[in-house]
Order: sequence, then structure tokens, then C-alpha cells
Amino acid sequence: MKIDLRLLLKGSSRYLFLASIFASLIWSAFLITNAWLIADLIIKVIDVKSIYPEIYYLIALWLFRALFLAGFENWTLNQAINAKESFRAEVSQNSFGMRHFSPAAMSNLLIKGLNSIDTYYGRFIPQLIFSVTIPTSLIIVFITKDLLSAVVAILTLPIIPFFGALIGKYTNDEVGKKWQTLGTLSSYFEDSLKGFATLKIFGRTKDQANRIHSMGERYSEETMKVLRISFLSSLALELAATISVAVIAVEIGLRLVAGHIEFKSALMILILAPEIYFPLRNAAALFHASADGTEALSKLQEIPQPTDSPTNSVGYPEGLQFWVGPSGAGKTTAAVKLINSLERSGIGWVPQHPKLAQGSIRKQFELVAPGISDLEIIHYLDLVALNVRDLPNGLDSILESGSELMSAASGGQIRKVAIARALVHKPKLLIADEPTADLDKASAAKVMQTLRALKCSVIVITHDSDLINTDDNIVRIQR
Amino acid sequence: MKLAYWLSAFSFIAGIGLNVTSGWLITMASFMPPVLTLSVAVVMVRFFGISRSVTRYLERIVSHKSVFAKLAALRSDLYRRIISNPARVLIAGSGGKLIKQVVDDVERAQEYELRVTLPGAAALIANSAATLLAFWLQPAIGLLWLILTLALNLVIPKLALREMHIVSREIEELESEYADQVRASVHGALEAELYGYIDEVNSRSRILETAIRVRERKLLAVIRKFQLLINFLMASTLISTFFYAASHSLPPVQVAMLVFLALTGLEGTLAWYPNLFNSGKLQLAKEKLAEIPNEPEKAGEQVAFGELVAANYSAYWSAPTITPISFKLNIGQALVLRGASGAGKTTSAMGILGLIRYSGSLTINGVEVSSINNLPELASGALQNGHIFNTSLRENLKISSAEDFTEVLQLLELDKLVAELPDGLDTIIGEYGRGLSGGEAKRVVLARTLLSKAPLLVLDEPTEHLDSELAERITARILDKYRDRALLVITHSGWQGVPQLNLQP
Repeated sequence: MKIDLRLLLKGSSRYLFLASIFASLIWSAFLITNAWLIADLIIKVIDVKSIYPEIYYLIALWLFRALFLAGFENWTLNQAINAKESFRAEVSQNSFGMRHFSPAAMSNLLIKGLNSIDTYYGRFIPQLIFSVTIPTSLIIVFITKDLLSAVVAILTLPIIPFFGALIGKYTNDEVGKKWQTLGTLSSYFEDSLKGFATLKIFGRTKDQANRIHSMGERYSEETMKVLRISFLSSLALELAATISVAVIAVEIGLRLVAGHIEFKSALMILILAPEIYFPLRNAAALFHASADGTEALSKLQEIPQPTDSPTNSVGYPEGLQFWVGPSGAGKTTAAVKLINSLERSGIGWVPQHPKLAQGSIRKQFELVAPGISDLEIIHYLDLVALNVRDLPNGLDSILESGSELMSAASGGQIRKVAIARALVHKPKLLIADEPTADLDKASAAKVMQTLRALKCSVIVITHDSDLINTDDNIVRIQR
Repeated sequence: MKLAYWLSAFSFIAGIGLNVTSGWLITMASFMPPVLTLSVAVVMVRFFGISRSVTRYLERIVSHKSVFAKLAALRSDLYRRIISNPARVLIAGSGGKLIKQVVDDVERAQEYELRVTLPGAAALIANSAATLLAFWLQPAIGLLWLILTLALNLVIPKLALREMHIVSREIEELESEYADQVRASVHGALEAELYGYIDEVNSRSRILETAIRVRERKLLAVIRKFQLLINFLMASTLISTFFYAASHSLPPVQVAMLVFLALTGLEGTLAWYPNLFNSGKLQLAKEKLAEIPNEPEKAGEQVAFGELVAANYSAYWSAPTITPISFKLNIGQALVLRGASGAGKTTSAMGILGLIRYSGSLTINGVEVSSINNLPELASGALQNGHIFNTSLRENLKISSAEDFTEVLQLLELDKLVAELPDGLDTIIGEYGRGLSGGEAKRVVLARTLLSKAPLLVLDEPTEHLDSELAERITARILDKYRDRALLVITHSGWQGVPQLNLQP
């Protein structure tokens, strides 16, 4: 069970830490007072004495308990929600760092990953602190009331962290594998859905449903083998907790008979005994969530912080240059590296899968050149063979790159807009990655004509040798 | 699963038993009776102490086993339901949200079972047992427990879930919007930086982050309200027990037993509530899965291959938009379907392969394609973005039912790739395996189709992403070797010298 103390003491979570210590002390005080009062009241009732005014104290105490429990947990969860938002903001405003991860990994970390912070900050950390303070203070009470019970508690308590650590080890090693196998099942299911069209074409969809079922059964057997070990450790942990309560109960019962202990002390110890083990057991139960939480937090640390932007101005020769090479040679990577090494202001970039800003086609241009007129936009669209009349709502059309199977149609249009947008930017260096992919012949020719006519440095990365003339400047990129 | 409910409930009951019997034991002991009178209680205390953990252990094994079995059944059932409506999956797209969502929802449904349904049922049983015990001790207190059980196990959960449902749904929707936003801003970050609109993208992220925080706090406020209610109920049970005991001069052991019952009797419910309060999203997942409809399979007929005839044929996703086309194609013929981007080439291909609906008429051997049920035997195809399964290259090719791949691999010049791969045909490819380049993936998808025995082959952009010399070699070989088939090629470049049909946008 690894807990990064630096993370705990950082920023707002420091208050969480301190408040949890404070709250755990209050809770200890409540538990002790409560046990004392209840023991006192039980004896009063048995002896047929008046339960006043103690019963009023008990009412007040339990009102406090209701408010305290709901209030404290609410407060810690609120802290968690705030921390989560600030972690999210920190990442989402760091576009430089975000670019180093895949979109799927990033959204997974920011949503699923950081949602485990709720339990980690809101429950696990307070519970962990409670599991130190509460047993300590209760054992002190035990020592003053009945030394033997205190000894039983002191002897049995370490068993819980011991097995907790054991479970933790298995959670990391074995159960990690278990999640992997479950992950395999999930991804097999996902893969079957993604390849559904292919399976359907080959008449294999029914086979696949049966396969999903039998694979699930096979994996569940393997997973159970692993889980059984982890369950055994929890069994040991819980046995330690419940048996010691039983041992204490029997031990004080027998000593009561012999008159070695007061009835009131015995009742108090009996009421308090389960409370000694409760926070530790709780923390152990929250372990899974805490593992997810620490993992998310450590992933956050891996996101690089932006460095000073480079000041190398564009020193690329004017004119058109082609970058060619086998697929997988790293042409795109080289292009992104080049962009990262240059001063940002004069670069136009049309990636292989261009991404437009949210909004209409007009918006794309307005963002790059505020105040641009419709006529100018239409002029630029002409340069990339996109006729406004072909668009359903003219310049107000929104091009969405939704699904892969359907996007073939609008994929070309998105690419054209992306190229036109780069032109509007009036770059000193324009890099276009496969600018003619999914364009028809006529459009591709028009786009190339436009790129060739530009009065700046242009790099075109392409597979399509038809675009290249014999006297063109070609750079071959090898694997 | 039923067994797991009872085991879990028994574990809580043993916990109550442990405390209540201990209370009896100590009170009895305080009157200093002969030790023998305590021996039954001593044994019971030990029995409860041990059986509490043991039943918990057994419950964990039983419940996980049964949830895994359910999960396997749920996945295959869902798969059947989803594929009963192909267009839905296809519209969502291969990398689409629908699929990711379903995969996530299945996992959440499992969690719901383990964290909400099971402990909920166990808490109800355990509380009922506590009620019975209270009735046996003092009917009036039993009545109190009956009300408590009804309130805590039936009424409050229902009310709480209803209130949380709305907020949970809002959070879920915002999170999904935020996920899109994060993906979009990672994907487009460089462009946004270069063109200077990164601030706009960033501020949209901030707005969503804040909106999520506001809703989560709202949810928390709902939870706090119910937590307070529960705590007050617990407090009043304890206090009423004291008042009742004081005014009815109960036997001493009963006083202790009832007080200990009030202190520990609700353990099951208290263990269940945190999970219940966090179950909004799990609940939604379950509902969404249940909403996926199952469309009954249409009865079709078995057909032998004959001429493919399209008359005013126009395939569509939701409503016809493509200019209808008419053509005929038979064995030994080839036809190229051309058209500008956006003219509906891919859509037309998918209609012929029976993946989506069409208007007009499309027949094979005189029978409408929509009512043929052995279509895979008659027509096969390579989609533009054909899926590479996350398994070995061999398994990817075996989908075609062929065993010997040599010839087709040579034809597509994939033999060189196979030789390069670390484990040859058994190399894992796909998302988690060795990445293939666009051209390689294209050819693997193409190989699968060329391996099929179907007389009609539909090839959607078969030579895209290939350099023009390789494309020409492959084109020539396909035209030569697949003379005995009906070839329908959809492309915007190459394939000269084959009869053509132009799609009008």
C-alpha cells in the first residue's frame, strides 16, 4: 500500500489531512463518552433508577453524532470534488502536456481516473487517519479500565495491517493480473463490436456471440483462482477482528463472575471493542479505490509542463518540398518535431487527420483571422476546390468528424477546410500531411496547384507519387 | 446469487448475534452466577465470532462466481441484441462512443450487482432478523424495528435513488461531453496553438469542469440530507429503547440485549448505504443496457448466385440521399463505381453487403438482397476502414474460412510483410499488437475478402494508401486472377480499362 506523503501534504489536501486528525480525535472522544453514558444508562435501567438527566446527555450526544457523521463526510467529499476540479483544470489548461498522450488515454485519466479521487480523498485518507488515532485512544481507555482486554487488543490489532499488507501485495501482483484478464475480456468484447461489419460480411456474428460467452466462462474460472487467495487474506483479517471481540467478551464475562472487574467497565469495553477494529477494516475495504486513486495521481505527475517556447524563426527554403518514405518511417513524427523546434507564429499545419475548432466553417476562419469577410473565405475555399454551394448550410455548415465509417464523405471536406484555414493564416512554413487523402482527382489536383503557387516554404508529406513532378525537391525519410 | 444474499445476510446476523449475546453474557455474569450457566453463551459468542468471517468469505466466493457467470451471459446476450440492428452499430462507427459506452456499462452492471443489489438484499434480510429478535424480546420494540426496517430498506433507498437519479444523469452527460472535449482538445491542441485559438478551447474545458463540480456538489447535498435522516432514525431507536426499558422495568439481560441490538443491528444497512449513494451511475448503466432493443431476425431465403441487378438502387443510413443508380453485374464481369468524395460510394457498397437499408431494388438471382439469408456465401467485401482484429494475422485471415493463404499473400505482396514479422502469421496485430501501416492494413483487409469463396466481391477503395506502382500491380493481378467472379470496385483513382459507373453527388 503505497501512499505518497508529498501528495498528501500538497495544496488543499493538507487541510484534509489536518482536519481528519482533528475529526478523529473528536470521534474518539465521542466513542468513549458514548460508551460511558450507555453503560451508565444500562446499569441505571437495570437498577430501576431514574435515567434523567443522563438520557438528555445521550440525546444531545446522538444529535451531535448525526450532524458530525454527515457533516464530516460531506466536507471531505467536497474537498475531493474541489481537488478533482483543480487537477482537471491543471491538465486541461496545459495543452502542451496533453499533446504527449493519446486522446483516449487523456480522457480516461481525466474522467475515470480522477473520479477515483472521490473515494481516495473523501473516504480512504480520513479512514486511514482514523485507523491510527481511534485504536490508540481506545486502547488507552482499555488500559485504565481492564489491562487484559487492552493486551488482547494490542496483540490482535497488528494482524489487520499485516493481512492488509498481504492483500495489498496480492492486489498489486495477482489482482493486477485479474484486472488484466477482465480487461482482456472487455477488450475482446469491444473488438468484436468494432469489427462487427466485417464479422457480418463473413457471416460470423453468431459464432462470435458464442465465443464471447465461452471466453467469459473460461476467464471467470481463472480469475476465481486468483481471487480466492485475496479473499482468504480478508478472511484472516476479519477473523482477527471478530474473534478478538469474542475473546474479549468471554474474557470479561468470566472475570465478572469472579468479581475481578466492574460491570460498568465491562459494558464500556464491550461497546468499544468492535470500534477498535472498525476503522482499520474499513480502510482495508477501501483499498481498491485507493489504488486507483494513487495511480491516477501518479499519472498526473507524468504530464510534462510546458517549456519556454523556442525562438528559432523559420529558416526553411522557400518553395515546395516533398517528404516521402515507407509508411512507419516516422514522417509525421519528424514533422511534429520540426514544428516543436520552431517559433510558433509563422507555421501552418495540416495533419493527417485534421481537427477543426468547434463551430461552423465560417468560425474556423474567424478564429484564425478575426474580421475576415465571407467573400474572402469563399475565395480561400475556392483555392482548395470546395464549393460553398456543395455545403448544406453554406458557410454556416458544421463539419463533424463523427464516425469512421461515415466520415469518408465529409472527411475530404474537413481536409479542404483545414488546408484553406492554414492558407488564411499566411504561414512562413506550411506543412501538410497527406493533403490529398480522400480527395477526388480533380480536387487533389487543385489543392496541389494551390500549394505549388504559394510564396512560402511548403512541406508536403505524401504516399502518392502521382503528386510529384520529376524536378521536385524530394526528401526521403527512411525507417 | 440467492445463496450469496443469504450468506451475506447471515454474516451480518452473526455480527448482531455476537454483540447481543455478549451483552447477555456480561449482564448475566455481573450477577455472579455459576460459570456453567454462561457456557452456552460463551460457545455462542465464539460461534458467531467465527461464522461471521467465514460466511463473509463464502459469500464473496459465491457472489463473484455468479456475477462472472452472469457477466459472460450478459455480454453475449448484448452482443446478440446489438447485432440484431446492424445500422445502429455502424452509425455509431467503429471507434464510436456507443461501443465504448456499452463496454463500460457492462462493467458497471457487474459492479451494481456486487455493491448494490447484493448488500441491499443482505441488509434487508439481516434487518428482518433483527426485527424478529426484537419482537421475541419485546413486541413493542419489535414494532419499532419493523418501521425502521421498512424505512431504511425500502422507503429511503427508493426516495434517495429517485432524487439522485436526475443529478447522476446530469453528471453522466456532462462527463461524456467533457470526455469529447478532452479528446478533441488533445487531438487538435497543436492546430489550436498554432492558429491561436487555444484559449477558446481551454475555456470550454473549464466551463465543463466547473459544471461537473456544481452537479457533484448538488448530489452530495442530496446524500447529506438522507444521511442525516438515517442518523436521526438510528438515534431515535436507541433513545426509544432506553425510554421503553426504563418505563417497563424489563429483566436486566433484556435491557442489555435490546441496547446492543440498537447499537449494532443496523450494521448491514450502514455498510450498504455508501454504495447505494454512489450507485447513480451504475444504475444508469444498467438502464441503458436494458434499453438496447432486440430485433427479431427476419426470415429470408437461401439463394444460389445469379446476376446482381440494381434498379434505382440507393443505400441509406437514416433516409435516402444518394442519387439512385442502376447496373447489372454477373460472373466474369467487373465494374468500377466512381464518384467525388461525398457522392455515397461507401454507403452504396455497404448496402450491397447487406449492412444497411436501401431504396429501389437490388437483386441477386432475382431475389431482393434484403431477404436473402445466405448473403455471406454470395457476396463478400473489403470495407474502406475494415477492422483489424486484435489477434494473430492468421486468425484475422481465417475469418474468411480459408486455410491456405499463400497465393493471396503473394498476390498482394504481403508475403514480405509476413517474413518480416517476428512470429510470421502468428504475430499479434491490431490495436494491442504490432501496428500496421495504412497500406498494410488495407491489404490485410483485402486479403481476407480475396480468400472468400463468394462469387461477388465488393472492394471499397482497395488500392488507397498504396504507392501507385504497387497499386497497379495488385489491380492487374486481381483483374486477372478473379476473372471467375463478379467484381465491384469502388474507388476514386486507378482501375482504368474496367467498365465504369459514375455516382452523381
